[in-house]
Amino acid sequence: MSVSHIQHDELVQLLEELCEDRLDRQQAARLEELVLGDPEARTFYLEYISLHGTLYWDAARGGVEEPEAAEEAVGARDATVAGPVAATRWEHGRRRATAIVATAAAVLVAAVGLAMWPRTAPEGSGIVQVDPAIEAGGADSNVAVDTAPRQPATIVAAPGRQSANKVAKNSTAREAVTEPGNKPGNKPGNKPGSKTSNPPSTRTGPPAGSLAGIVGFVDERVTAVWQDNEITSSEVASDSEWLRRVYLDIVGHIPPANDVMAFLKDRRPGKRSEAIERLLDDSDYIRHSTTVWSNLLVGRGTRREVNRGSLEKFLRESFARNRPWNEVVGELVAARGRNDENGAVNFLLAHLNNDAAPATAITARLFLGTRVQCTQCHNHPFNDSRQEQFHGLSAFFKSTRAAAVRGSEAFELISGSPDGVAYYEDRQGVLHMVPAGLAGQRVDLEGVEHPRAELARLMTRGSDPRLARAMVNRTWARLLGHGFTTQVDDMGPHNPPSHPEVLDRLAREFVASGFDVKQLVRWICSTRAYGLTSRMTAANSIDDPATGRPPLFSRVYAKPMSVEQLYDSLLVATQADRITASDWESVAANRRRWQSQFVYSFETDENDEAVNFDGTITQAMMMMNGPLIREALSQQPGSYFHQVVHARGSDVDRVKRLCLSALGRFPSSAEMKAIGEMLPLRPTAQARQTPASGPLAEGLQDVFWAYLNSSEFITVP
Amino acid sequence: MNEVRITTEASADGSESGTTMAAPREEFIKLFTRYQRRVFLFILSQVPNPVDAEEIHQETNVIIWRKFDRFELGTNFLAWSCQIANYEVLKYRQRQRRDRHLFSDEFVRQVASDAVEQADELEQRRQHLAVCLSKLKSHDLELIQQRYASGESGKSVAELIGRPINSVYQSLSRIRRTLLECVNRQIRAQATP
Repeated sequence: MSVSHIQHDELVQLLEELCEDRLDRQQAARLEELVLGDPEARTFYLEYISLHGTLYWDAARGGVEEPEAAEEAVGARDATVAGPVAATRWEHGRRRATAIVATAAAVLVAAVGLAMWPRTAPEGSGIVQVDPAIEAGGADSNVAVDTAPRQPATIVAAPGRQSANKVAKNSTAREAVTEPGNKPGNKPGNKPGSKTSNPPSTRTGPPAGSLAGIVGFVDERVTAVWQDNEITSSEVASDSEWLRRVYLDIVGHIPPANDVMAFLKDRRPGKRSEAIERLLDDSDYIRHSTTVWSNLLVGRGTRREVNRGSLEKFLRESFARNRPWNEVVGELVAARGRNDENGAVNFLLAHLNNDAAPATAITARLFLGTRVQCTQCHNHPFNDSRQEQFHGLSAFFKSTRAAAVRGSEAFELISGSPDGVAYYEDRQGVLHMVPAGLAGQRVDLEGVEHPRAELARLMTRGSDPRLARAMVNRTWARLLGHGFTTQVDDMGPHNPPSHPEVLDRLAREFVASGFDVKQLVRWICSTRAYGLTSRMTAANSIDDPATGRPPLFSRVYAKPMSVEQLYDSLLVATQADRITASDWESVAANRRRWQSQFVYSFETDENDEAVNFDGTITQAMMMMNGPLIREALSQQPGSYFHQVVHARGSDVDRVKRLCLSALGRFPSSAEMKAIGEMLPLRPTAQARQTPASGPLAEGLQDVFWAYLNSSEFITVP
Repeated sequence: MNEVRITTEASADGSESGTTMAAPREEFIKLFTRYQRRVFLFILSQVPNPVDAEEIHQETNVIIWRKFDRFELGTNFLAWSCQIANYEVLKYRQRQRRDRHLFSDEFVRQVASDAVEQADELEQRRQHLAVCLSKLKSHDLELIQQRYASGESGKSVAELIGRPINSVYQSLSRIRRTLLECVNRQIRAQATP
């Protein structure tokens, strides 16, 4: 059911492109596939085309007929309601080897992680299993629709557990979705710029370069698109949700419990902008940006030629000084020398195989937002990218090679003397010679000693808007969960952006700011769209790019954490690192070791964006049974759990602190009720005197385990 | 509205084959005009660009007129016309370079045969469409009329009314989906009285 629903949406999308004469070849092929594969789709195709054709044919149909009689008019109301809300069921798988088998845990995960990832459950399975990480594998549409019907969840406890076995009701699970941290009076501030949009024709430019001006423009355009589509945006995100998101996006880990507390208590209207500023100044911003970009530049795997530490040092220094992005890119493209001395060379060292074809492709993809790899062998079928362009670009890299430095482990990136041209065979087998060039501009490399320096100059001097546009699109996608184009690095003319004015404006301002990366993050994080909840409502259920529709940004699209975000967040939540390692070095080494266990299951040939915590079995097992989690739940001094057990508070406070640390919010009343029924919570006076122990401590462990293994935990909301 | 358009076409084509006899001719003209739109829609399903489809339709009309004495009154005129149209679509596709075909031969064949089968249902939908258009909100109706006014496209309308092109595409898409849903509702309402 849900599959055909998604296909239906995709079909509509393709037919729309067809009606507006914008269907490209790949899309046409996909349309054929859908239509030929399913008789219903064929009927639908004919109905759509004949609607389109009839409108075309009857174009001259005259006057408007009594619009006031249209009481049950076909309008926004019908249109939105008409979109079938997918009846989705959720399956939670649970497999855990250790002795801790807790009903509490199961109830919680059912409540907490309530299916960030909808999925069809086998018919008649009444048992809710908890396996959020595996569940994440089906990631398509990341957010539960509040109004969607839910499968009643019956939870069956494993045998051997004490009397705590209860049956959780569906309603508890549903209630749990509404966030308790969001009190009505606690309305967040920081919504600069115009709130409602006038008709889009008002195009008076706000002062260039000012935060309010830029954000105001973006808000106005984004809001106007909601109106064009007759949807209402989701609510503003609760403080808990927003803080968790902005932490993960800017500094790469969840907020520590104390920060959450402080933020929730803070009543000042400007607290969100303050938080953005604080995080941009945090040293973890540098660390996180370095991680993100070193993965993009050389991937997570290891290659003999690549000195990752050295590359990271280069990036760290660049982000720490907030160097202009064009400068950083210029250096990466033009770098020469030893990989232990000049970190920037490691980027190209990772891509020199196959006659430097990967170097050409990744340079175009990462920095110019253009995919040229297909045009290596043939002209692009429907845009003007030609074989010539690929080979013109590759000519800059032809003379570049890697050489081992004698007597050391290091490699060196060398630019030889270039011939300045590239040769290729077209599909008819005719050999062509192309001079070096970028975007139609040819460069005579005759006698040029360092061709890549020429390329760097062409790419970064600002006359080619692609550098700025690519960075804006990528940053926007990283923060909002979806870019202006479906593939963040495929921005060719065949792939028009969803919000061209917003993209143009941000790119212009980015250039004008001197390619200021922090500014860019600040602008986007300050937009109205970024401040919204990721939760869909009935009024914007059509806004779901996972179905192939263009994004409307009427909510934030939740995204899975990256491996690094997950690891660092686990450490923040559990403080497990304080048990095993005391110094920074061994913490870092532990992270790498832990992470390396995942890499093989993530790595892809092109180091592309698919490297995420995407829920393979390995990951799930690692999460649930791995030493990190074991340590997190151990009662050794130093861990967060130990602190909670020994804290001088009521048992309810203990549960609250566990939830706050893992999920950045307080437990919902439904969760609290379920836990209260399952754990032998003690009278407050007694709880204050003595630490939790025995079955209670085990129960608390289970609660914490469940929170950490929930889909909510591994999601950037 | 249709009448105007069709008469001009008919007379233009008719003058070319003016030598044919007049007795069954009146009946033929009636059929011809009645099925103009449906033949066009049949072609459009295979050649989705309306301008191309219109061109093919014109050529089809020429042939229909030329062969009109071979048509036996009382048999299925639409089926007969669609056969001719089918042949014209094939000719058009042959003229076009192969690598410019958006759709495969298989697709075109399949769609053509479905279109003939479902011709009556589609005609029924068209009648409901008129009702649904009248229920559109006035600014939506205005936009969709502008879009389909002769020679226009989403792009040119955007330029005309000074709205960003993407927002116009999105609005058009929403209106078309709304109309489709409305037609579906009408059909359902009719099916279950």
